[in-house]
Amino acid sequence: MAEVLVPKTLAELLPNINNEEKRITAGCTDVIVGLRSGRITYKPMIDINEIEEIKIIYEDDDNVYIGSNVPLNKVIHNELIQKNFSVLKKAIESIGSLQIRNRATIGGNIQNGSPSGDCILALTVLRAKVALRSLSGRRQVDIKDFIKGPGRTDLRNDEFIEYIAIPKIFLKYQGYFEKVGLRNAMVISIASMAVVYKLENNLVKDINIAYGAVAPKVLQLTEVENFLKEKELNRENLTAAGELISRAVSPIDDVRASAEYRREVCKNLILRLLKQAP
Amino acid sequence: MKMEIKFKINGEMRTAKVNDSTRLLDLIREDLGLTGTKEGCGEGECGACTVIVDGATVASCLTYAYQIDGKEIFTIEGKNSLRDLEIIEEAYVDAGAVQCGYCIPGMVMSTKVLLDNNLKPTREEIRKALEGNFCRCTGYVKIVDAVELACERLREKRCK
Repeated sequence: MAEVLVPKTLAELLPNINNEEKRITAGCTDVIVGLRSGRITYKPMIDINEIEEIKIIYEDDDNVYIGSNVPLNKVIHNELIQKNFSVLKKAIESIGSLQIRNRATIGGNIQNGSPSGDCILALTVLRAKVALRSLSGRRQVDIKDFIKGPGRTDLRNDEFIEYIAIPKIFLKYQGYFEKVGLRNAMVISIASMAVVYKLENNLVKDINIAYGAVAPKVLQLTEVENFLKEKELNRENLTAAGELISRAVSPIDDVRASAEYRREVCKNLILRLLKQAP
Repeated sequence: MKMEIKFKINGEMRTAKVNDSTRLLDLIREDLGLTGTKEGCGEGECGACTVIVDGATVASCLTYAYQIDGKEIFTIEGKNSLRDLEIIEEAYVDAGAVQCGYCIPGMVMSTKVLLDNNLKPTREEIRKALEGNFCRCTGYVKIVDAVELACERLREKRCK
């Protein structure tokens, strides 16, 4: 019969985690839709919403930390994030609507492991780490390794996502995020792109590029990154990069768009960096 | 197993017994009989079920009832306890922003939270603030007019 545990502290939560038999939930914005549509099966829930210890954003010398329980809207309005990680702010702004972002949490968004997960895309180019906590301790995993595929993550049976760590090496980088979809609010992407980069004398010194919704998981484009290094972000270079991108992505046909259209969108999205150049 | 929860709704303390699958929307409409809040899509897409929980808008169809234990909720029926709600409602009527009316309770709640933080929003900011609320009748122009009218009246009221 119906059952839900609402722990108030980590100490109450940790001994109860059993991901095979119970579902850890927070905002429940995806869980409710999933359960009602029959897309996911019922499991007794552990609702971690009330745990304040993981509802904070803080920093040390090396990283900015976002507690997994922080609602998406709080991430967007946090000064540390706004000032330093515009790519994450823009990515999260594109998720759901205000009503959803007030409840959905960053930990929940990551645990869902959606291939179009916009937040995951931004965290990938920011080389974020996911901190996983269990009774036996804590381990950190790169976000790109944590997401194994659509809806599949590296979460072990006794673990939950405690926080996300974003390294401060990207503080001085410029960022760009864009999602192409059918409506502003609530859009499930046709394709999305997140980029962070550093320019010196107009030349790209470092660049991280990732695409969402065009492969089974977030796609990092190392080949394109290497191609753009030590080059200017001009039309010629970005057009050539777009060709490489259109060969690297493996989009699908579905109700929202054809694979061919998605490929074209991916190719053209990189040209947005033209507007960003000084 | 029913959970007992305690909360404040439209200024009144209440308790209720809920299942783990009872949505806030079901609690509001079925148990409390406050049918001003509407169910549209039931998936958080349309915003018809928008209510205010601890000062922020949420989709009540995507919130479990047990999650509002200890919290303060306002619905469209809250005009006696929620400052300015009636002025916003009147502005919607006077601007001709209401056709079938199904989306309006949600629209008004989103408008209320916007105006709590900004009494001089641009039309673009208004559209942004209401992007989680669908209207299938009006084409939104008159709704944005209504929000501007509400701002105007609230600014006048504040000056007095």
